Amino acid sequence: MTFETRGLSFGYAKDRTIFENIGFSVGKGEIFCILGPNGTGKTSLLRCLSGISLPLSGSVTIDGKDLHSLSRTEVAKRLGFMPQLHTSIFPYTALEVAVMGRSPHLGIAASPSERDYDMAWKNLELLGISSLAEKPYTRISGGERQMVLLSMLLTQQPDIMLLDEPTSHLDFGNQVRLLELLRRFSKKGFSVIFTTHFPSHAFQLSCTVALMNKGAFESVGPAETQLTEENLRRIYGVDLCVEYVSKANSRTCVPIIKNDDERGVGAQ
Amino acid sequence: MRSNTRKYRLMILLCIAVTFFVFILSISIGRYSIPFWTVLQTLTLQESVDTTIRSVIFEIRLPRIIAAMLVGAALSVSGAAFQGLFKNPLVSSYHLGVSSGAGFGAALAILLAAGTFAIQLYAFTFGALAVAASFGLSRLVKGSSTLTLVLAGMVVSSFFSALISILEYVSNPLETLPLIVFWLMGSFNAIRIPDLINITPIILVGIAGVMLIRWRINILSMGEDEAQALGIDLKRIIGILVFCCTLSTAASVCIAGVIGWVGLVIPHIGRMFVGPDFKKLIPMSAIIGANYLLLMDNIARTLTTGEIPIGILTSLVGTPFFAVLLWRNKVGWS
Repeated sequence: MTFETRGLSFGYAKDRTIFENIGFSVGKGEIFCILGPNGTGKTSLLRCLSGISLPLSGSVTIDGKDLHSLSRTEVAKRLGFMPQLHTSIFPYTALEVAVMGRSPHLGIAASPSERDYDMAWKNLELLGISSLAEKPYTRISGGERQMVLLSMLLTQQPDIMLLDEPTSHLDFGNQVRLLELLRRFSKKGFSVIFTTHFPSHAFQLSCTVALMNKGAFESVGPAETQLTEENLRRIYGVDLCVEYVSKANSRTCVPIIKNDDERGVGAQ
Repeated sequence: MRSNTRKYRLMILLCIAVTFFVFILSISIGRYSIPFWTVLQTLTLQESVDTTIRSVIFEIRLPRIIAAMLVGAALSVSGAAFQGLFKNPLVSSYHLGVSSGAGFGAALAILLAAGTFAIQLYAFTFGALAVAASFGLSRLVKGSSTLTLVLAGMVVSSFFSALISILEYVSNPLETLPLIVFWLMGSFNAIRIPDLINITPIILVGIAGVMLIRWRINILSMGEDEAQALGIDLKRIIGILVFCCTLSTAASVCIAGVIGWVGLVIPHIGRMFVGPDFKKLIPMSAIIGANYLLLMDNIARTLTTGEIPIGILTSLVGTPFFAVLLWRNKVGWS
């Protein structure tokens, strides 16, 4: 399985592009992380990669087949997308949401069977949120909703998972659990593409990192060579340090908070 | 049973039993009251029953009762489907202009002094045309397909409402105007067997279409992006839903007039019983809707010596009921 994109550009008008000429490929079991400041087009990129948004130019292919030559169902069987923020109007239970992942595997006139509900239940259990099963999706926290959406994605069983800031609403424990899970899935042969605002997460997964800035990939490579102090300072415009933590056997990125005096804030 | 299927099946069985009881009761009551037992005897085609009773039941009451049940189910099912499609619990199946279109068609036929069948045909045709216009208009606009569809529906509805006003304005205030006004208020008064034969297949096809794809409405209601990511072909599924709902709603309006507040309120009552899952909600809405409109029609024909237009009744009952739902926070946003 190879997921590949070439010369991908997207914008709401031809002369105002959100991102331009993006190309990379992800193989079976690989994890690919996209890092970049707010508003640089990460979400738009994921939407194009998942086939939800139409690119202005360029191609997205799975095993050489163009995404737009496949039917929605065929795409959804191979490619799953988890949005960053999501709410529902109707108070479906978490289990009812999770079982929606079975959609591409069921015929248009079919409803999920007991077997499908069992699959959804197992994924809720896997994520440690089976206690939410009967709770309305609209009355749980943003982080819990993110976990429910993830269980829906697992129920969908795609080869490639596209996750838009999957850790953004999660507490510290769930962030770690999610990282462990992503690693476990990559070892099982699933490919993962995700965006994040936490450089440390990329270190922890020791994955391929793309630095995205101003609507383009600046560089792509292993986390260790990409996420240097210099690169991260330039991209985020703040002071920080990258250190190796031997106990965790991983690098981590820590910001250096300036005092008000140094910044000249409130100096008067 | 992770999906509470057993509880749901039991509930459906119970509701069907209630429906049967309401059905027999409705045949028995009326200006000419028929005992419960005689109704059962007549329905099982026993020879001993008086021919007058037989003709009252088979030619007058039964067509009317069946029509009320079909229309109640049709409006409720398509109302529920539209609420999911538009991700809006305040929407009914009239939202794309089918009622104002049908009203215009009926008014036009009445002005042209056409017969009953022509009125129904005009109403159905213009109701469907109005929805087609909304649908076509929404396709011209780039962007979210459901949002533009709601807006297009509002435009087309208002346009046909204006056309109805023009027809009312030019019609004869002593002859045709009352006919138009009464038609718009809705009634099952004039329904006979031939009407039923015309509309039953159309309504059933519409309901069946929604029934088949009802679980997909869940996914549709999660948002367009999410639905697409889950393999839903938006244009196709929205097309099927709008087509089926329009068939059954237009067929309902063309024989019974504009009966408001059924398609809006019944899905909410359904949600109180089985929750928001459309897999269970659609069948539940069909059953509750059939019972509700049948009961309303019973009141319409028995409360006074005359006939109360059923559209007035459903609005009178529906609006305060909906206000209570709002007040009790049962409308399903949260």
